[in-house]
Amino acid sequence: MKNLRFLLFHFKKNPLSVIGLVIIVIFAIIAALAPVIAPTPEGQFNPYMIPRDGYGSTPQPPSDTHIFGTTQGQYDIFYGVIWGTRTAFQVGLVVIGAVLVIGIILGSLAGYFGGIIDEIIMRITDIFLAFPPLILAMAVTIALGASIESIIIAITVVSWPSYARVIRGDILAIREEDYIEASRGVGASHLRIILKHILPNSIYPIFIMASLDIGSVVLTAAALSFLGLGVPEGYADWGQMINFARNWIVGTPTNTFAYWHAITIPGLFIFFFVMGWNLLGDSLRDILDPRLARR
Amino acid sequence: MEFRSYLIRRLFLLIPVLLGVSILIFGLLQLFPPYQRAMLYVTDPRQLSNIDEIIELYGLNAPVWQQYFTWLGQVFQGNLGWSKVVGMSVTDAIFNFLPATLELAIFSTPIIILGGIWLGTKAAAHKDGLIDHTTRAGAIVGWSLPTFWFGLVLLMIFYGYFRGLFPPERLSTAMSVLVNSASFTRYTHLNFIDGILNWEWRVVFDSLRHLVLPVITLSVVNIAFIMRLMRSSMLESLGRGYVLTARAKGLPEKQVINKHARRNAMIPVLTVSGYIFAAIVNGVVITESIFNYKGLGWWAWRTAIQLDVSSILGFALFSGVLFVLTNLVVDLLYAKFDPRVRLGGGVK
Amino acid sequence: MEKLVQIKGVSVNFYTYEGVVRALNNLSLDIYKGETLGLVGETGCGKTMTAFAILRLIMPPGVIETGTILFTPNGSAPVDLLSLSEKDIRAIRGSKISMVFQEPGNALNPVYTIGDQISEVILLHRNNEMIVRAIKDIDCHLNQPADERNKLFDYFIRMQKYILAAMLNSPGALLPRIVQKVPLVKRLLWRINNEAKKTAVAMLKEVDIPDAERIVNYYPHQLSGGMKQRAVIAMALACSPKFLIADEPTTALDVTIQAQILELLQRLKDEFNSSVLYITHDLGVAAAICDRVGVMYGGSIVELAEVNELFVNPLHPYTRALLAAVPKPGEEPMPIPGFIPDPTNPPAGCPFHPRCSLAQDICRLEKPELHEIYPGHFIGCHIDAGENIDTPSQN
Repeated sequence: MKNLRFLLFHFKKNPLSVIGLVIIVIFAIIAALAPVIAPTPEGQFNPYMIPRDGYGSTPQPPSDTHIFGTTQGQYDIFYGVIWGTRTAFQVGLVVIGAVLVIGIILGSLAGYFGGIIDEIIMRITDIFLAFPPLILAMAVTIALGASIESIIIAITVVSWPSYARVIRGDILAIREEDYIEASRGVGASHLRIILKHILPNSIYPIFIMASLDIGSVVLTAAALSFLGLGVPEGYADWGQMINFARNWIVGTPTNTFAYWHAITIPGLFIFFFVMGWNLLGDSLRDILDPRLARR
Repeated sequence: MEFRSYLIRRLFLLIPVLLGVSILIFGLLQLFPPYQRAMLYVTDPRQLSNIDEIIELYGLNAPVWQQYFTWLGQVFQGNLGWSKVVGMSVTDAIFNFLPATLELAIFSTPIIILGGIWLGTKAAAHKDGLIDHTTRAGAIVGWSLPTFWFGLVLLMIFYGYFRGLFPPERLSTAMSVLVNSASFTRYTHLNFIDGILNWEWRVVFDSLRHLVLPVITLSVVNIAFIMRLMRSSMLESLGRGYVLTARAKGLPEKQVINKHARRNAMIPVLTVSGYIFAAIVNGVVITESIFNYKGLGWWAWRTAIQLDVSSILGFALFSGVLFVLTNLVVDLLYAKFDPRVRLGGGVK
Repeated sequence: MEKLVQIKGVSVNFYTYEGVVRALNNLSLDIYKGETLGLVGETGCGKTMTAFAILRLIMPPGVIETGTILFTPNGSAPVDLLSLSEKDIRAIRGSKISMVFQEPGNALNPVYTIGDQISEVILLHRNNEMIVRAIKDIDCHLNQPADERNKLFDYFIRMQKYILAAMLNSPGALLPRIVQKVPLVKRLLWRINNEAKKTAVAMLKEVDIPDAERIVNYYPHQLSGGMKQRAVIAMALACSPKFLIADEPTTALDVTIQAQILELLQRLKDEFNSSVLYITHDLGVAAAICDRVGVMYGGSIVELAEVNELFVNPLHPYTRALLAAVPKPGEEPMPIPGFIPDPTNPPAGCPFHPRCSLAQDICRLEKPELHEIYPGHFIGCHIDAGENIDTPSQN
């Protein structure tokens, strides 16, 4: 309770974290109200596919029918970025959830039992950590075929080892605490000790830190779809919308910034989304970092 | 003495990791159908017409463990398969594209590491001051920038608006012709260095002009990362007793920070420099694909979107092994830097 | 006796998120030449802050709000340490006033050798002396018979001498400045570093470190706690300071080593003819080595007297409680009731009144001033000595 109040105190003192929170809340509202803000046209089966207005390649500037204009292939940018917010939250939340589950199970097994189990799990994480993450994610994505699920699996595959390691480390530290010894002394079972004592004490900071990684998960996912891997063409995804715009960086001879909207708008959505999490995370990390706390 | 045994132990630990890396790559390979897997065993374009023969020859329908050893044998012979995107073997492709990426790395790595350390030190030394707030805000912005988008915006401004001031690709057409002509000797395939060696300043200037935007794109995010790490590590170091001792000795604050605090604060930064290498490799793929800069990253991107299995897995294997070796070097440097690791503990 | 340091009305505040911490509260204290003054009190009473204030080592969010600290080294006019420029106070730190810290493991930088760390302070404050020695060394070499010497090396060594002489005579000139800055050229000055290292070895011998020539190249983690503390003491005494502040130098050590270090400090103090401010929470140690002892509570001195007077005839209720709390054989120790005051919100009046059995109304309203009750015996308490002291031996 005291910790929470301490956290809130710092939180209020730091205007940047408040801005971060506001940004995230706005995005959450956009995602929740996507069907209202950008209604799916009649007769379209999948709302995540961006409606297109014709098949011409040249992006069209903002107009009454397309308030953010259209990008290459006449996909509506407004619809794309609004529903893309949903995609972003989906990818971020599912990946973090999956990574936490895997990380907690493997990390606590390794940390609590130690010995050969620890050794095996840690060597496996070594192997996964032996690749630059984006490269491994690219390989996994193409192996699984183009879909949003492939991206989610690929990012989960490359991110779980670091969580497992952090959780293992925390559990190793907590395992040595006296009260764990005490409950072992009175004959509590392993599962009971892990579930009742160890996890609640290590999970709270990990949970917060993990949720703040949503920003970077979304960034990686966007990078993959920017590279043309993962989502099918026309899926409402910010990274893909930037990919659509990449051939239009040079404007017309009369107007050098003729297609600015196609590049800038989806980019700003990613940027602000990620920055919201980072602003929140930067201050929370400082507060949660015990070495820097209470200075 | 102890350093040598440390080195031997560390080298010994490489074996299981490298073995695991190969198993992981091979496991990924199993997700593809045999006719795609066959590309990994091709050494010559003429074989492409007889894929069935290769499937037969290398037993691609045989039990998995058998296939693994066949494949591993191929890898040890330096055969990673055929890259259909560029029409050469994967090994050749790697060596063909390496110089371009090396050129990019040579310019950006020092900027990233020195810039990040310098900014982080400054921010920590002036904690809560103007410099600190500015660099921190800059770091959050930099850290949140989607690299691929940032690169495109830079291109839109410096290539589009300023009419080709800083163009994409590695060289302009004219210089490209010059570099490939008979009168120009390609000693290293690094255009910048070859230009100097051939006394062709136009090539040097042109290659630098093409490097500006990719280097900026690659650096911004990574500088932000190192800066944040260095800042928090410096803050911890500045709170330690030896910093107080240094001040009590009468050392000027500059020396206290640069000599006593920073040397210790560098140790955690060094331990993650393996991660920095990975981040640079990640960034290289994105940056090279934006700028059409034909290096390893660009090749990896092309092969990935054209489902060129042998190339992407070959590249993954290559970067994995490189990464493992980098981590080895980092560990050795770490031992060099921290006498506690180098000499071991204990009283003598 | 002459006063070496006079602390007058120093207040130090820390501006933290929990509020303003009053670390030192109008503290006054004199330290005489050649004496060992003990400073005792519970954790958080401001002992270490007093030391930091003297050296001006208080870092933000701490601020020295008021007061003066006059420092009068031999034969010179007193200077106020608190109003010196940053450069001038740095010249004093480590040379005229130096400090030994509580935890030797933390005080030494793990990435430099013991020798490097001692040399550093020597090069900082005794650079000219080292240059003179280096020149003497060169002269010694040049005085050897000419035919035994290499001619080329001769030119080189003469050039070295020329540079060293320039550094000594005109340190602001271009040549010495360049040589000291440019990385590779800096190597020419190796003789100075060599002399500093020789001095470091001599200092290590001075503090009874065996095999000093070898230990000088060791890193801190290769030494035991006692050895580390000896190295720290060698570092502090490297410039023969007039005033040594020892902040609980033996707390982190084993009892047997503690005795050795105390003995060493006593001996070196006499040898270097310096004054010592000895900070400790161990009353036994204070009784053993101090000439006078000051008791601190809530950021100020509450009682100050000759060591025997203080232990035989303690007057302040806090001192008495502190002495009663020390476990003695055959007696039940008496813990002091209550806790040390919250430094962000100290009680009004006398800071000790919430824990004091003799507290009266005035104690809750007014902070008592430190005043002399007997010659050389000061207390800061409202209760008059005659009323509450059972055995007033006034003569």
